[in-house]
Amino acid sequence: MKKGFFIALILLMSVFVFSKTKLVFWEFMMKDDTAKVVIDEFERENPDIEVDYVQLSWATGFDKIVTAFAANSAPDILELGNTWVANFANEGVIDDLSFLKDDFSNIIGWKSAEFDGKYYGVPWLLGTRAMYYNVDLFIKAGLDPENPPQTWDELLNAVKKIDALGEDIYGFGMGVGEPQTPWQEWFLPAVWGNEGNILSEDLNTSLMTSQSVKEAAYMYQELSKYSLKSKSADLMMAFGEGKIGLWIAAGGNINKLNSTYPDTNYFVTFLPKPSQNKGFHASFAGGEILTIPSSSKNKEAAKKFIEFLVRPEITMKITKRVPTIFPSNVLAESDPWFDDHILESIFFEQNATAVPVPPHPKWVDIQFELSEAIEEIVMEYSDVDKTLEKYNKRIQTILDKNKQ
Amino acid sequence: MTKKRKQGLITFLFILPWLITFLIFELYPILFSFFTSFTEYSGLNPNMKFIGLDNYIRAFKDETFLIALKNTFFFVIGTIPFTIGIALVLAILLNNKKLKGREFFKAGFFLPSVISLVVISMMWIYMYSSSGLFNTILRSLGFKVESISWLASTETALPAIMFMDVWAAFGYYVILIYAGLQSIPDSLYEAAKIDGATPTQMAFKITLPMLKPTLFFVIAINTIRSFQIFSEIYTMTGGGPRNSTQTIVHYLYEVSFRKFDMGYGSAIAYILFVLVMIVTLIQKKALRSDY
Repeated sequence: MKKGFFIALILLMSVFVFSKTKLVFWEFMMKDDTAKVVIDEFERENPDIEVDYVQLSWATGFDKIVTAFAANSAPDILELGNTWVANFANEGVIDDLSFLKDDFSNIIGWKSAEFDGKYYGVPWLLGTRAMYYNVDLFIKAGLDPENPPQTWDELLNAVKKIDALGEDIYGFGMGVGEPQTPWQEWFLPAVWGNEGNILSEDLNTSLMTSQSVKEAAYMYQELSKYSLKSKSADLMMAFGEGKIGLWIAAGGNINKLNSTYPDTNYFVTFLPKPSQNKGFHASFAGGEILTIPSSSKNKEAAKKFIEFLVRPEITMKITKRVPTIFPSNVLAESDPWFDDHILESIFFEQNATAVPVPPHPKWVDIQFELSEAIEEIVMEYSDVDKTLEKYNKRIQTILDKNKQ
Repeated sequence: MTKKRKQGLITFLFILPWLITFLIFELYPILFSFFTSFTEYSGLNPNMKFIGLDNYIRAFKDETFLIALKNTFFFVIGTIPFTIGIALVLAILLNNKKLKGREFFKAGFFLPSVISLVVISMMWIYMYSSSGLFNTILRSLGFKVESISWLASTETALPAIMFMDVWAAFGYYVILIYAGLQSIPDSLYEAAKIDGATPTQMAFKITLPMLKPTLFFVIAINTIRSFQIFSEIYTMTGGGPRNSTQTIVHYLYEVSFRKFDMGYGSAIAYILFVLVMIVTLIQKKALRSDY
């Protein structure tokens, strides 16, 4: 009896002595093998913490996250796409991590994690878009592949010349028929590069009828006349088959093109700006933000893990494995990997002028309207002014319902 | 305990696992979503605000919902006659005892029904792509085809999905109708033959009336299925371009899980429930079925 009691007591004590803090970590970007390497290293450094890792897929991950919050079973650390942060922050389900900003002086992309003047996560990985162009089509059209278009006019000129090469050759590849591509690849970056925005600074007014938006819309409509307008997967195929001259897309296409269409002779450059003496080479700032759900019971350990995850050598491990997304930590630029990956380094540089979407909690609703407006302009050649007027009202209605 | 009571208890124990799952995973969500349809509820946090019928009123003022409603009706009306028509003709052909290789045809027709809809959708995305099967065929026939995915155009996206859906669904109904045909006694046809009935008369006076229960069942489940179209839209177009393929279920998913508006999403779900019920009752009346 006594013996049994002592054994039970020792067992009970050992549970307390050897118990580890269990961190539940959900993320999208790492593949299993990378995650294992990263997590093993963290657990070696922090033997008192155990990381329970779940990889989410882009197809179903968002639903899983929403369901987890609804069921009050959110993880301790959660990677969120930067366009989602404002929405979750607005619902009060993720923590304000502004106090961490000063500790991370080498991290860029904080605007991606901002909502209502506070920072609800730490930028971890940044992805953006750059302009792919077909070198052979450039040469055929009498253009200089060493000097790709830098401005809107140069782009339009190049697109027209390439489009004239033949019936099944298109000057430009334009994303339509999907929720994001119509605005994400270049329309909204063109507005930003044109020193404008679609929402006012205080996020209460729609600026769809402003001059900078109008100029971008007219430009985009003109460009669409010489474009293959289709879904991203289609455009990737057409570019690979040498049917498209220029195309703005994410870095992930480098690997796809190299493996599926090894004979396609292409290069990458920055997105064009409005003119030589106006604007900048803006692009869409995609980003992965590390957040801590408010329901987490292990916030100290979670912060420790975030500090570890944003280290340049750790983020570079992910970039090398998934070269579509790059460290938010500027110290990573000294990594020799970039010397052998010229195209990827252009994407990394493009990150410096990338702009995140306005941090409005109803961005999802706004993006639907924006995509519709653009598709109307480029697919139906609708009257630009009238269309912008119509969607300006619709976006304003969303803003009025959710006054900041 | 009496024998009768004991037997009752054993029966209840056998039903219990199903009963528990039904109560937790079906009845509770049904009642909960009915309640949330009268509230403003994001689903992310527990805050709920009772707003009465506002969500229901909002739906009929919501342009996108009305487009989704129109598209769904277009989908239902545009696919059901083809799906059932093709299935009926093929089932009658299969019912011919002189037909060689009946089992092969049956298996062939039924094959799409056992493949996941997501897999089918992915397959057809490639066939509909700019350099896919359909454009290749059209080009080889001398048509001038623009290099655009059928799913990226507002004119062709929904009809393209409807075409795929008919292909994916008809085989299942062939088997159901075929089973219905098998249950019609041969003696009826023999008697009719003796009375001098023509094949057409036999089809309209014997086959169709005797098939009525089967046809009602097939049309009803096909209607319900078509009203609930989601997987194909989610996988192939996400409701685009410009909402041209937006359907009720896809829109309620978007509203609930993308826009965090669970209350409104629940209201849309109940509107769909009422719609399907009304359409099914109309069908029941039209076919004067006892089922």
